[in-house]
Amino acid sequence: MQKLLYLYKSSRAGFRANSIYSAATVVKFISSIIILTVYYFLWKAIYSGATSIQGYRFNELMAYILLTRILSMLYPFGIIDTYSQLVIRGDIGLHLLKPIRMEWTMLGNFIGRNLYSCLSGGIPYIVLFFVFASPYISLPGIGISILFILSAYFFIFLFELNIGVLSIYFTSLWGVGTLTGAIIALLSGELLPISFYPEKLIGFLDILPFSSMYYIPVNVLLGKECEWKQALAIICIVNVLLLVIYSCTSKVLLKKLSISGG
Amino acid sequence: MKKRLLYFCKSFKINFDELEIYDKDFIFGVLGVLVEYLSGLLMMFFIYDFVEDINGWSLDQVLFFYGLNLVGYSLWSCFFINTITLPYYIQRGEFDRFLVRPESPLFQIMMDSFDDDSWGELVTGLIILCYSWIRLRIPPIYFLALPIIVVSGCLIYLGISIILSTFSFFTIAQADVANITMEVKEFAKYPLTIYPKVLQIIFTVVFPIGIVAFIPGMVLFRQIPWQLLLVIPLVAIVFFVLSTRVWYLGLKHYGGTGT
Amino acid sequence: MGNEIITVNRLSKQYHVRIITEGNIIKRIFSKKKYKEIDALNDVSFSIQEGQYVGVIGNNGAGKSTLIKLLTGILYPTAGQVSVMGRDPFNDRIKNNRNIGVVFGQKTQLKWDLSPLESYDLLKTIYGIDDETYKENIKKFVGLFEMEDFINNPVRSLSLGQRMKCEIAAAFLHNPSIVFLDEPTIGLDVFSKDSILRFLRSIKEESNVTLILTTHDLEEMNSICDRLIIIDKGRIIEEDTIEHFTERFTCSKSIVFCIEGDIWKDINPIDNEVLIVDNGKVIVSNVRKERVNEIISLMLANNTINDVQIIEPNFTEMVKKRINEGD
Repeated sequence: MQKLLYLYKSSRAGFRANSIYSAATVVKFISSIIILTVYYFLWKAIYSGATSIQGYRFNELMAYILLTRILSMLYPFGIIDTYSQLVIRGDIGLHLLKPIRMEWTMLGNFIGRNLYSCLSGGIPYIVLFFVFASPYISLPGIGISILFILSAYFFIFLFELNIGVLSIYFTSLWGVGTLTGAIIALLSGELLPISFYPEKLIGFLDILPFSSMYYIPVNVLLGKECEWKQALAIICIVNVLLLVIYSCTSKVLLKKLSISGG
Repeated sequence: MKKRLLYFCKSFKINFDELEIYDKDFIFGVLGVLVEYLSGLLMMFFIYDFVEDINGWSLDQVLFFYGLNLVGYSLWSCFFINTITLPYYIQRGEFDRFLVRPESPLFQIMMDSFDDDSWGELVTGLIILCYSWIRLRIPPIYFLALPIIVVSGCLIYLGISIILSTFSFFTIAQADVANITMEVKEFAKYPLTIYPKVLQIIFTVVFPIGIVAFIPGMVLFRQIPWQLLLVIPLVAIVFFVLSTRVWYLGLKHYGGTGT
Repeated sequence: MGNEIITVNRLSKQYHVRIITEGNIIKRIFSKKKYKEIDALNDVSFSIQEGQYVGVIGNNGAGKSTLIKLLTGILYPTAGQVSVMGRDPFNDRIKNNRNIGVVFGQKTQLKWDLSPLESYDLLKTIYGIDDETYKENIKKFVGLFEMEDFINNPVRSLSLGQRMKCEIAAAFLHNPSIVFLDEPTIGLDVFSKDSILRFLRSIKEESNVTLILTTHDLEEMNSICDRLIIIDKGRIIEEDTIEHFTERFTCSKSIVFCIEGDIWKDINPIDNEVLIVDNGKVIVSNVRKERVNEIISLMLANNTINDVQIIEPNFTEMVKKRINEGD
């Protein structure tokens, strides 16, 4: 109970802290619009010779791209970097001195930050998503896709924690963060629906949890057929595994922590 | 000029030495950027499985635009990306240290730090460019023009980042307007013809980045006269000089307010 | 004397440090890296009683911060045991944390973009402080530190002194049994320092909190601490009550005589005494207490004396002397 209250309060604080930089928000907004324009015209040119590619009409594909953009702002990417910054600057010490595990603090801060960036830079995406997607949205799909989005949120949180904790050993993980981000983008269908991928790759991606980040929830929301039950089972199992691995590695690695200075 | 070249070399060496401390990081970072761009390209390959052409351009031609643009951009981000750090310097009060030294503050900022992961961009850009160059059987004679075009691209990105960073002389708020330079790159990745007229004009006249890859592409694939290539370095130099003027105007304003 | 609240038994901590080698970058990336072990803390034992204010002194890099980090359970010792309130602070960290408060002078635990009050509200939840205690403490601390003017401003807009007051208040918010202050007054002006010392004194009067303080301002430590621990090169070279320590060192005084006319200086220095004659002044230093009378009467009898000054070494000098003496 105390943890939930703390989670609520720290996410509120994270939201507030981010909202102070309103000028930065304006810049994010402009960036969003530029990227959107590029995507719109690129896909329009791609679709100029066809009404439907791999079962996606232009509007559906735009809806797919838009929703993945929104979700990518919502997901807690950047835990790796935050973790290694804590280690590099030695601030991890302050977190270790609280009678609550620092993962809760991180989770709270990221929820606040993610909600804020979603509701600021993400606004043009959200509006346009409804413009393109409203005829296709399936009502029962909403519930299922929210379930997926939540599981994927925890999946990314745990996944990045598992890598981030290695910074106690390797100190800076900035390069690893970039690499994992790039690999996740490729495997999750962030840039393109997975059904556009070659057959062999699709079979491989079906057994990985990454498709549950974008591909499955968006398709479910748009009322398309997909094997969501299997995907949900996979991501849940993976989440439990990640949690177990993290609690072991963090226990071992924290003993190796050395904060120099003083 | 000689002094600046020396300054450039020294700063570059210092930065390169610093990389070694985070060497694993550097290698992973370059790999990461490589994967990031290559997966973006992979998407292009996947898409071309389903369509013949995009707006009349073949896959190899699109890759040529993409690669040429990326090489110019990565030169900027390897050597001069620090221009967009100006708002941070001003906020933290570190900017004044550039003003008390006997060297142009703009040049000092550019030299203050180099970006490491951009090496991945440079490598990717070169790979893509070579690939499309070979596939399209582009006559080797055009190789002569390549350095000039690429450097012009770099100069234009530099100009854009300088102009955009000038905003931070006027607002103290943390507005990374200059980061928009990176989004502008997204724009220039694809052939200009996919965009409506208004955008085409903006990216040839206001921020002339559109022409860097587009004019060579038109010369090679649409048979417009090759002399038009000469426009690129001319525009780049004029644009760059103008951008520094704008920056110094901003500096004057900053000095006036005394913040 | 109260109970032993902290016991440290043969504690050591080694760091693994990378040595940057010469040569060009490509070579360095692919060659094997060299490391060396540094003893930050070497076989240290001591104990601290409940309710004591303990000052930890040492040069930069002597191992003070490492000690604090081991006592708070941030770091895991290479060898030896730490027991804080009967618990191992590393393995039992979360539980231990409820009863301790920590301030690192060079770090902030407040949220940079929010006001101190908002950060306090978060701390209230983290520590599960009940409403009544929370309100009472906030009221008390705001009064003691005169924080009304800035408690609602974002932390980044506060001056260093204001911020440090807020940090210290944050560390005491949950009525901890032990508080660790790692260089809390570093870089502060005299008024802020005084205000912090006043605060610590008033806390001492009304509660039984144990305080571990590291600082480079020795007079400040002298004024509030009961005990001192001097660390040098990873070892404890002195551990004593301040009172006793001062007594041991004030036994050596200096006497300065300003003399008119001819100088008679035929006193025979004994033991470590040093005699310096300089421009109408005679200075006798390292004089033991019992000898003071004797020297002064000798000098008075043989010289025309304008002025006599007896200089007791100040606390800073005593510590300097002690560190120079070494182990």
